[in-house]
Amino acid sequence: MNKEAVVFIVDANLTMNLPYPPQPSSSKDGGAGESNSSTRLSQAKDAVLTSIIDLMWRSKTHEAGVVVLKAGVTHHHLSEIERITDDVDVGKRIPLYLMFFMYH
Amino acid sequence: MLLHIVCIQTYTYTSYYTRIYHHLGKFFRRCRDGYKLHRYDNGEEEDEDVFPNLVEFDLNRPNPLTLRALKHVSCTINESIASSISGDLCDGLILAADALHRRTNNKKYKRKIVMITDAEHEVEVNGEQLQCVLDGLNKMDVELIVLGIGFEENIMSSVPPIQADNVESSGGNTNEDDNNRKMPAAMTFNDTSMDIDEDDNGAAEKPEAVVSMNDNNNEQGEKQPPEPVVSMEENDNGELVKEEGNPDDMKLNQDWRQPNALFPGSNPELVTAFLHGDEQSKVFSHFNDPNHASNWANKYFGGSNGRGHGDGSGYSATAVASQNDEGRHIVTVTKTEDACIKPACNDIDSLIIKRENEKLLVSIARETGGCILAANGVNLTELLQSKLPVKAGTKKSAARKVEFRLAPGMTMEVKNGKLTDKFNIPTTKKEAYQIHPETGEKLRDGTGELMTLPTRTDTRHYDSDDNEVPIDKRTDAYRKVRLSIVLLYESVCSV
Repeated sequence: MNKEAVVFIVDANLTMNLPYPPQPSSSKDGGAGESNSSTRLSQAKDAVLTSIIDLMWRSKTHEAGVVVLKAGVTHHHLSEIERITDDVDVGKRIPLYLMFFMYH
Repeated sequence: MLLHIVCIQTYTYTSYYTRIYHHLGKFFRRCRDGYKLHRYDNGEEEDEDVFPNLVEFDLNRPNPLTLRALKHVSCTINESIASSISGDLCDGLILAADALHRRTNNKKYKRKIVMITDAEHEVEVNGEQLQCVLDGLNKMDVELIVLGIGFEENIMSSVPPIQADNVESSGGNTNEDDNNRKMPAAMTFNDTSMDIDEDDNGAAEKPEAVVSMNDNNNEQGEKQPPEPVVSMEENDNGELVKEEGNPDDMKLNQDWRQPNALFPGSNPELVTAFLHGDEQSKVFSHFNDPNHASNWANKYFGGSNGRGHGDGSGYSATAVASQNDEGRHIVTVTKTEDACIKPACNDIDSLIIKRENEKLLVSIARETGGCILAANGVNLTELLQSKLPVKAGTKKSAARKVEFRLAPGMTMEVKNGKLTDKFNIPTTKKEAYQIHPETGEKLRDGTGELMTLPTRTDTRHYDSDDNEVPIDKRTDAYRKVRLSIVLLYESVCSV
């Protein structure tokens, strides 16, 4: 069976805090005391979590990653911290050119 | 002297490579046959973080820690800084594609990107980057599934597919490359240094629809006018024609309802119902003579010569008195926008942004062979499961409600369940009970289990004289008898 690799992209923009499913306009003014805690983001997280758990359950070799958009911080494999150690192939070229000029 | 020159040259090349070392964008550097993207090579963005405001949970085998961390993801930005926060969906897509490339390139994987967004934030699209990412996604067979919250239903069919042959060139050279590389249908070019007329082997075609997004280099708080939009629309002949314009000029669907209207004149029920409704204009014909019609139009719609305008008592409309073909005196009332329900300016902006983002995502999904799942109130988990493989443990028939699309715009809800499945019937295992010779009861062992013995099948053949035919003569026996009088005895050995 082929391994699966799924990357989930979850939007964490401010608008994702809006209630979901959208409340009808009449119930907004009603004030019936119903607090709908379900937001777009919470629903999205639930969907992603369910999918990841299902992915894990089907095969332990499946892989999943998550990217969160509009986050307050930055942390990913292309960010500044990892940039220093990542360009190994570029770094290796410098001695070759040094050697080139050394011999000429 | 020679040593001095060597030292200078060494320093030059070392500093050059150090600069590249810091500036080189790393995403998909090997996905286009060695073509590299120098996104940060202008020296001005040296200290800028790459793809800020994105958080990534590494692509790996999921573990409980990841799930726990994901559970605690929340929206941390507030309204005051929302406009300055980067990390839009395009950046996220590039990052996700790069993560897939790093992890699964040249390996046997079934790859997918699932994006859950409402697409209500501004997106900075770099055409070259996006095209490179699209090429990489196609190369890796990555399917993009977009779960769009509040997206239009059937948007995949409503947005016309890319037909590059029909794009007319304006302001730039359109390359006709052998590779027939296409830009996504909606993207913008915010980098003035970037030329659409690309390198020798990477000629990209012009985009068909340009999404105008604010440039990231704009000053904070200063709102720039949106860029002109070039979009492809289908005319009556079925040909795609280019339309240009400003997104601000694009009218959204006007809501003509005037809920506060209170009509004091004659026939108030009909007129008030019309003013409360969504019709823009209506003809009223309850007048006895032309003066009646003209007075009615002037009095209640405030104009002169039979042409009036609403007096502002909750409604706003113009009225024109005239005579129709049948000779009846009529007044045509047409609503104006003053008293209509109008979305706020911010809402209009966000709607335009959302609509353009939808087009962009449709284009990308179409390029990658993916799909858009519009979520308008339905459970996101169920919607996502309808596209992703079925849940583990549901191998048996379990009817699920799915939306079955007969044709564009024509759907019906059906139940989808597995009716048949391959099933291997286990072979019957024959065993003989051991029976007590005196009592006739079945014997049991020390643990209370029935004591059984294996059985075998013995077949014997007899000829017409009831003589048993030995094995080596059985063929002759059949020949002699010529009838299939074969008695088959099965004896089960029992003790």
